[in-house]
Amino acid sequence: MGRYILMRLAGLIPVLLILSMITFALMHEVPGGPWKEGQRPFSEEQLAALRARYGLDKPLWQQYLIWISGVVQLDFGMSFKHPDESVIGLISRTWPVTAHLGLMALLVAFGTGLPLGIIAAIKQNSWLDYLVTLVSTLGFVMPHFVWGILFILIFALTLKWVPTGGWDTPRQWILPVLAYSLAPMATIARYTRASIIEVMRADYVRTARAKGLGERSVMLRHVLRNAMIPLLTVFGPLVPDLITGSIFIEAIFRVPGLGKFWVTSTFDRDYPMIIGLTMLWAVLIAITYLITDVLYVFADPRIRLK
Amino acid sequence: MKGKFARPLFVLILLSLIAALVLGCTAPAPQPAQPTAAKPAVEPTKAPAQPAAAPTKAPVVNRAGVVLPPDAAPIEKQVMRYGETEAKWMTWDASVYDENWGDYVAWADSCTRPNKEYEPQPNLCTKWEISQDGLTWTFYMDKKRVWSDGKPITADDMVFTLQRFARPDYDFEWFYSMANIVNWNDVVSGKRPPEELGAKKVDDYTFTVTTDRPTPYLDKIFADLWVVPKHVVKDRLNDGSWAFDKNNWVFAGPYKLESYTKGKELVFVANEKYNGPFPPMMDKIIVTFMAVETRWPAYKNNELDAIGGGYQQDLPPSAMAEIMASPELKKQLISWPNFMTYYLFFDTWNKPFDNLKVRQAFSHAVDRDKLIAGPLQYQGVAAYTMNPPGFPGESVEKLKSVQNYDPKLAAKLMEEAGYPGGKGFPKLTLYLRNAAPALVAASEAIAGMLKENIGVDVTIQNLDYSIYTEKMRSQKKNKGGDFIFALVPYEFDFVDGSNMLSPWGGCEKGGVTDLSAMPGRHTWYNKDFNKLLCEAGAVLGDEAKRNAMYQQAEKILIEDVALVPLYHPILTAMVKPDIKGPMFTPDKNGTVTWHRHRFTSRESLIYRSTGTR
Amino acid sequence: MPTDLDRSDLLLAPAPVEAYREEADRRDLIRPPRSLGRDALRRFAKNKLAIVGAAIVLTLTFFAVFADDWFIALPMGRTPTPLLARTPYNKGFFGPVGAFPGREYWMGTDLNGRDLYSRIVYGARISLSIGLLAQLVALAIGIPLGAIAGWRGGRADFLVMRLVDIMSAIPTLLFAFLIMARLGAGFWNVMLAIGLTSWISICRLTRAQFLSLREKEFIEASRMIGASARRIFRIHLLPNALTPIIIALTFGIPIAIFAEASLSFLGVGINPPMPSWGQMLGRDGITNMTYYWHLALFPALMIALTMLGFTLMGDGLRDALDPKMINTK
Repeated sequence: MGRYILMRLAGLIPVLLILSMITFALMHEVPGGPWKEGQRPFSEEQLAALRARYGLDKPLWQQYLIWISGVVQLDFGMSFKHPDESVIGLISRTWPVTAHLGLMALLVAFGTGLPLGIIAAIKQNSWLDYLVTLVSTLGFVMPHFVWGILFILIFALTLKWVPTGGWDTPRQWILPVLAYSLAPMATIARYTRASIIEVMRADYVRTARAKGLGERSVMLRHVLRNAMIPLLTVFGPLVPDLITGSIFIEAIFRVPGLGKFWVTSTFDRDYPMIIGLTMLWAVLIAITYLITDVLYVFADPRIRLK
Repeated sequence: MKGKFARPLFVLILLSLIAALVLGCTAPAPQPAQPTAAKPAVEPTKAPAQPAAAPTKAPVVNRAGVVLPPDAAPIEKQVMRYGETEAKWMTWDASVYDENWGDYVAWADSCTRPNKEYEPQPNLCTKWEISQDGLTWTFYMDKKRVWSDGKPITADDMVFTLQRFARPDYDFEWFYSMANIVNWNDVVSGKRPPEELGAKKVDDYTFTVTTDRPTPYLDKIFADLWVVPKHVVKDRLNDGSWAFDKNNWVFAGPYKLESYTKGKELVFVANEKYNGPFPPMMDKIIVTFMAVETRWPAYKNNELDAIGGGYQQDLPPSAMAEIMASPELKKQLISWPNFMTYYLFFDTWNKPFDNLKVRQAFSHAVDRDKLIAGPLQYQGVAAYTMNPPGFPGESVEKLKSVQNYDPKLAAKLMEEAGYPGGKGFPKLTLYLRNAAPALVAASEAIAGMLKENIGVDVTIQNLDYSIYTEKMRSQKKNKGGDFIFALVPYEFDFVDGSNMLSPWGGCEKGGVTDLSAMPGRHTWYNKDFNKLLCEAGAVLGDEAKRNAMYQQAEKILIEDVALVPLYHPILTAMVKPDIKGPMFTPDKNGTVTWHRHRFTSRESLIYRSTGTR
Repeated sequence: MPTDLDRSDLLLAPAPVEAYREEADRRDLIRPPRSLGRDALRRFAKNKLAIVGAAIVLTLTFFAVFADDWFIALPMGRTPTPLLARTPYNKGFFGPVGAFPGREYWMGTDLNGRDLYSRIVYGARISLSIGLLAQLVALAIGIPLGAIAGWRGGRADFLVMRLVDIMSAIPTLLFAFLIMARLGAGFWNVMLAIGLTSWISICRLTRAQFLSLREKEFIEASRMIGASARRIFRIHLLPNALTPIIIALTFGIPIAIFAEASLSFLGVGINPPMPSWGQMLGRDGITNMTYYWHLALFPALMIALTMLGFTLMGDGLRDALDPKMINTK
């Protein structure tokens, strides 16, 4: 097992290398730079001075080597958009906020999504089931931002229970967490239902019932346990997705988090940030899958990692 | 990353489904029950005390010792709350185009200050004189002015500031280059040391500026000479990072920065060391960083005291429609014309727009009035000239008919140009520069008019700012390319007849014949225009003569259809009704403005009252 | 339980939604799908929600096709005249500006005075064809790559999967910017941009499909009786892999429509004045919804309806094609 994990992590390195090269080339290929041109286009001299100031005057391969030699020492450079902060510093300033929001949203999503999915599965093809299916489909159709705006309109502007945004007091957490958790909640409910129904049809469940085990015992000991195993792979990616934030939730509720940088770094041509975030995402996702795979082995003895 | 971008974005788009429903039902209706800040007098704590107990009530004094008018609300209410975008830098020079809140609340201070009529008034510089030949300016400074750390503001600071602005790595260098200061370009490019710049200290409170040619509007440019503390910055080439260090927070203006919470807010407080002509009235200013779309709801929810009036569209057409439908909201609206022009332009050096008849046909095919009545409602007034109404040297009335809306004439001109009904005319792409939704809608309308009136097919591409600028630059540099038809605005930098025409030309460098090296930002060239602009710039002491020359120049510009002007925007702002003060005194045209600073620190002219204005 | 799964391919994963879908499909394919017979149709018809979904999709398609008489006008070389739409989408200023829904304009007009209903009808054509075409691009890349990886295994598999790893982490927005700068925005380029970034999940799906099929007894049997590799591929593999791919397509179309909406919002989408729902909502709708609510409501409703229709239909298809269902009902 330890060997397997090490192999997986080692396999990540070439992927990250190639990914960084492609992203590096891509972001420099897009016109523009980390400067704002105002009412008039810059002169060639000015452009040259600016390129030099940001170290963009060197050939691309040199820039890449400079970057990679910094990365080896865990230095991802200074953000172009926030010149007083390093990429690592910027991420460590903003990520805790986003992770806080994301984890709370995860908690809400699982806390409500799992029971809903289980109820729908048990009462399959009843009106309750249809209701859950419809609601969870709506969760896909109207994602968190819809709810965000709606919540602001209802709870802030009309009812005046909470402010329209901010991130200072727990009262200000309520709306963003709710809005952010609805879509994953729908996902969880949907897949929980599907998985349980599938397991309920399995032969061993029939056998358990035939043995005369109580319905409650069958559900708990056989159905739920087995249904959760495939869900690991489905729910795993929810974690990195939610804890890295969303620009819209953060923009609409004024959350000073990491989420917005996934989009703004490209608009600002903040090269160190773009590539730093790409690496972060690749590593996060890889680790998530590694963890779900390992958990898989513990949950289902039939699976072997090779 | 994939999921990060693709899903959340459509998400945003979907938000409106329900939002539209709810807002649509609630918004247009006036809400008398809504406890806005409209009537703070209703608040039980203060209302009874106010009328009778007047003599016992001590005057409200802010932390800078300024006594506020008798109807001022208690000191803890003397706070202005704004919603802004977080800027990259914290200094004027480095981030002019970066939604500059540094300018916004004036934590620096400038040599001269325009009044409401845009005439330069004494500020840090109390007096200035021009030599006989018009080439040397002498500025005398206020000897009692100090930085917030107590050190005097001196001529050294001013000269250092100019030397500092003469560096290439920021976006506003071109603005100061318009002052024609001796050796400016050589100092910028590093060919000469900064000491050789035509800005010299005479004594501690006097400095001179020499120019290559007479520059009668230099004092207007110096309204944006935002002084930097030499004793703090030290290195003239520092890009602005000096201001990130809290120890370097030294201020010249009526306010000083108290705290900066990254990603969240800036807090400014009145500067008790300030002893200039605009003492602070408001005690505190809180600038919260927030997205444009969220400001209007936050204002309605009393989380902000004022929105709008800046670069960003805080108040889109629908917000304006909402305001117009509600008498309560309408009272809080301030709107005033901006010196700015949105226009279509062409590559006049290549086919098909090298043909004047084609350009004329385009200019007659666009119905500006319909644009103003439709997609641009409440956003501006129809434009037929580059210089907006009220701008020095404008010819709005005189040139109005040159490009009037005349679809029949447009069709006839197209026929004469060899494209009857648009036959044989290439399909066009109209490029926009990071345009707001209302402007994209207006462009669609323009495309519709061109199709209908002269049979030209136009699609629209709204480009990212940098990509647009890159295309614009390379079109001129290569004298060709696919960037032949585009829309762009130009906003004034200072109120002088030379300014709004400057994107189209200026003084030609001797011996240069290459079109791509000509002054101006567009692919249009006219020798006479350049000559007029250059000569008018050097006329001293005769504004009437100068402006007559600018009028001549603009006539050439408009008649040659270098551009098709579309509209001059109107700036709009919403300010809570309990905010009062001299800021709301109308100018000589009877207009009240809420300009993003420029004239003077806005917060030096407002306070929160217990009544309404 | 997918015991035969080599999950090292999940080193880097596609975006979550696709992952869920993929996992679900993988679970489906443990049971060899039977023929798409009458059974499936019967089961589909019995599923009320699926019928609703299919009805929505069919109606939208109908509107998209018959917005105008384009299919007649094109061969005749004349400008199409509107059928289901009332006016051409680019026709402006013929009515009141920003009119609310009423008797004359039952979805109201936009700020250019254009009939919103007509734009919605044309939007169906643009949005649905973007969705469909982008998915076809994704299929054209994803299926061959996935099939090679899954069937061949070994080095080919390794290479394809590393490509997938890398592609799934590359910032989509950068990619879209590059296309905008180099090729320009516009219908075909948008379609291309979406297709080029969404083939990954289909590739993974196809690969997983082939990987598991390869080990199945009936394939083994064919091989034993001496069928050629080509024959096995044609007779057994392709048809068996088809079912989940059809389902993936159903879910992929609305996702591509969303992607177009996001691109439109960023100004990298369809060029105006051509209407797509995403653009109508993302631009005019969003900014004007506080007052001109109809500009946001109707396009949002259409996008939501499309998503709902395709999702319900996709769920129904999956259930109907699931052989296990035969035993239960």
